[in-house]
Amino acid sequence: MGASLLLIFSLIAALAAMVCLSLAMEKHYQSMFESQLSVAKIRMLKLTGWLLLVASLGLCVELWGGVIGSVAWVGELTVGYVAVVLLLAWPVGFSRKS
Amino acid sequence: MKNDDLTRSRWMVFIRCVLAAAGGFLVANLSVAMVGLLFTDTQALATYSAMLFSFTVWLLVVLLVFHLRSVRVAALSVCSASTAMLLIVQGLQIWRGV
Amino acid sequence: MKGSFRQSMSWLHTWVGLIAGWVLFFVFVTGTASYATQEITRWMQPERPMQGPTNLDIKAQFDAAYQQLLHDPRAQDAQSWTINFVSDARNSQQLSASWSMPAAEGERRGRTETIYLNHQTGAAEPLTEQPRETAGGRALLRMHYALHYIPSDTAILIVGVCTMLMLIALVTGVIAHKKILQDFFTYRPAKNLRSWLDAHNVVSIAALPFFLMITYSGLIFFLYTYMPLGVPFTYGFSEQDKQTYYQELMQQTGSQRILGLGGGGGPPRQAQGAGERPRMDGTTPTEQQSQRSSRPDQSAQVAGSERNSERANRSGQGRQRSGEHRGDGTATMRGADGLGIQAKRFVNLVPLLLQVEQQWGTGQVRSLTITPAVRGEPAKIQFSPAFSETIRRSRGAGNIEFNAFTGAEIKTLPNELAAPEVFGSSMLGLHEGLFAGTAVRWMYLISGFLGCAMIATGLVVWTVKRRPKLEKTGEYRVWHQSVERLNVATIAGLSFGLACYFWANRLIPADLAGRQQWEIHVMFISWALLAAFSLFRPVMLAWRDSLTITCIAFLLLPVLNALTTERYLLKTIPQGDWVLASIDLVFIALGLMFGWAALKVRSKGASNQRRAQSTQAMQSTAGGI
Repeated sequence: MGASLLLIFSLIAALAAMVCLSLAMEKHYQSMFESQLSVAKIRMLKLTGWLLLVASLGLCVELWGGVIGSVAWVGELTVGYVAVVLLLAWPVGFSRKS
Repeated sequence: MKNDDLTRSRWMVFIRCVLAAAGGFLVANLSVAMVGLLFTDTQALATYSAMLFSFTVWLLVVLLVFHLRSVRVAALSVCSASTAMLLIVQGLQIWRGV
Repeated sequence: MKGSFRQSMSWLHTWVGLIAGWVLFFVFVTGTASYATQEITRWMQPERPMQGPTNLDIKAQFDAAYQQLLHDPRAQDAQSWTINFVSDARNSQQLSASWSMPAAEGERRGRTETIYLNHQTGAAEPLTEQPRETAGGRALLRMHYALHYIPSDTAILIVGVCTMLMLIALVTGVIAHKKILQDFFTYRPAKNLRSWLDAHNVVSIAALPFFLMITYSGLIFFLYTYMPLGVPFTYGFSEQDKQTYYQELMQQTGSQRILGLGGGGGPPRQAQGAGERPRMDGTTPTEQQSQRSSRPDQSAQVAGSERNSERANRSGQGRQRSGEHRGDGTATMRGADGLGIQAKRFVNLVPLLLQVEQQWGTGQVRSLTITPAVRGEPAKIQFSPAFSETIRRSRGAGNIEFNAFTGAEIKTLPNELAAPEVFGSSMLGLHEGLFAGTAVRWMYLISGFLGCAMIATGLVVWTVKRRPKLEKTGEYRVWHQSVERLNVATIAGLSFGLACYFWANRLIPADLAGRQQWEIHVMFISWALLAAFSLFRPVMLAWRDSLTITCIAFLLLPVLNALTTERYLLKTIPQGDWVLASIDLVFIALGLMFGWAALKVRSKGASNQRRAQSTQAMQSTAGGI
């Protein structure tokens, strides 16, 4: 895999992880979906979120090596986190109810 | 009456600030010497490591000084801590000198 | 303090943040810009050639550049030749050949001259004009720890105090944040104080590891200045005792440098090759270092490194320092052939180059440096990689070196470093981010920007929280108003000053004497003007107008750039020079952001007015009844 592909995939994984982890919280789930958030769903979303975080870290380490990779990973988490907060706060679109 | 209270509490805050700044500075620096003098073989390295860590010591002193309810207790604990550390450092220096 | 642990920490957070906030905003803005120091400097010297991808393979690049060095009469007696390849390294899409002359009498370092080669054809590109003198990105870098207009010793202490306060504010902020997990992703717009608090929380959490790292490592840069009594308490108070400590420390850490004296032994060698083109931005890395090292303990460091080089020479390890060519160049040349003559005896260097390229990969050889034989050492050719494998500040790490006469590889064993030294130098390396490639550098810039946002929102929260109460009790007076005004003056004012810094770069005549200083003066004058303007206006109007002005200043920068230079977006993007283009694009993004903020303030002001009018109307009708 090319370097830029690895970078893009790890960024997407970080972003998706943040989306999963935020949806595992009642109020953010409610703002997205009509249905109720069950315990099983919470567990599922959290697990997926953490797995995606690990995947993103793995891709970073693959791309940059252990030390710089983990630094880059923290940076990607920052970017993913900010993006998700903006998405959730967006007045229209991503969150349907508000 | 109300004015007196205000003046008093301002003084108390001022004393806390002095304690946090001067006391914290002293305790942090003394902690460096304490750690440094404890390690005979690698004194420079120990001193250096303690230097790196000393900002955290200072931080903890500041948090403590502003957390304690009574200014008197705060003053007492900072003063006694720095005196004790000063004595330990002196003692270590004498012991090392012999 | 009254109340719970959390309440006392919240109190501390509030006041510490307020006291340090304004200085820290300045430090963070200039510091964030410093992650693009080299790029900003290049933007500020539009006479320099554009960069871009190349069709030439590394052999063709080498041949073109090496021929220049072999045949240019000025290069024959140089103490080093350097070729920078078009590579994946930072700011390194420009083929060039350069040589450094031995330092003349009284110079710390000799002149370096550079020939730029067209990265499509390999032909030398004559500079039509000498690049203008500019304060560049370097001035911003220096300001972020040494401020400006005040003695640097004092400034470093001020910044140090504020950094310590920042550390306190960060930790107390985390403790004081009641619902850090429940509200982890929460931003509630259009709810006044709630929204400001949410925004402050979110931007603070977003890059919290970065903030902690940058604050703590900022303290470590001036370790011995900020903890001045630690070593004296242990070793004694005399200069001799201090030297004993430095000497022991270098033995025990296995490092050649003492960290924490300010520059920490100067920027790593990495910064010299392709990235920081010596001379082009007015100074050389060594000058940079000497500027950074205007600090109390400098003498100790110099003494330390001298002693160290003695030791290294005695034990036959002199090679470890061979990457550095300092002011001893005159001795270098005495009684030896010039580099140009020696080069006739070199082995064919191309196979060495190809071997290194194969090992590192295409586009990963950043530069090579050739040094002549001197004092029993053979002539050497040293290759530097375009990537970094460590976050530590490590000079010349990963370089590969050959004997230029025989082609044999010269292996140097890396020093075993003690754990605290690894930790310390990693912290400083993380702070500077010199290891960062393009992607990580953008992450640094984003994190730094979030830091600015954290401080700005924090300062606004302070005022928004208090104002309604104060207005109700009639205590909304000078003290609170001046905090509000200072916020406008700092947040919008500094941003405007920064924009004007770039305006000044384009508008001050390129040949004006002392124009670097004037660029900086313009920055501070325009800041002061906007601050003065906002001091005499109602707060909301001050915000609206100063944000609008800042927005216009940033949005027009690319236009100004197009009018005054040949390095504007329509030229740089087709050429593929994304470094220059991205600076213009960031100006546009900043302009849009300030414009958006100005619009927000405008609509907020309008709704406030409506509310005020309707309450007035209600009161008057109530009065009528």
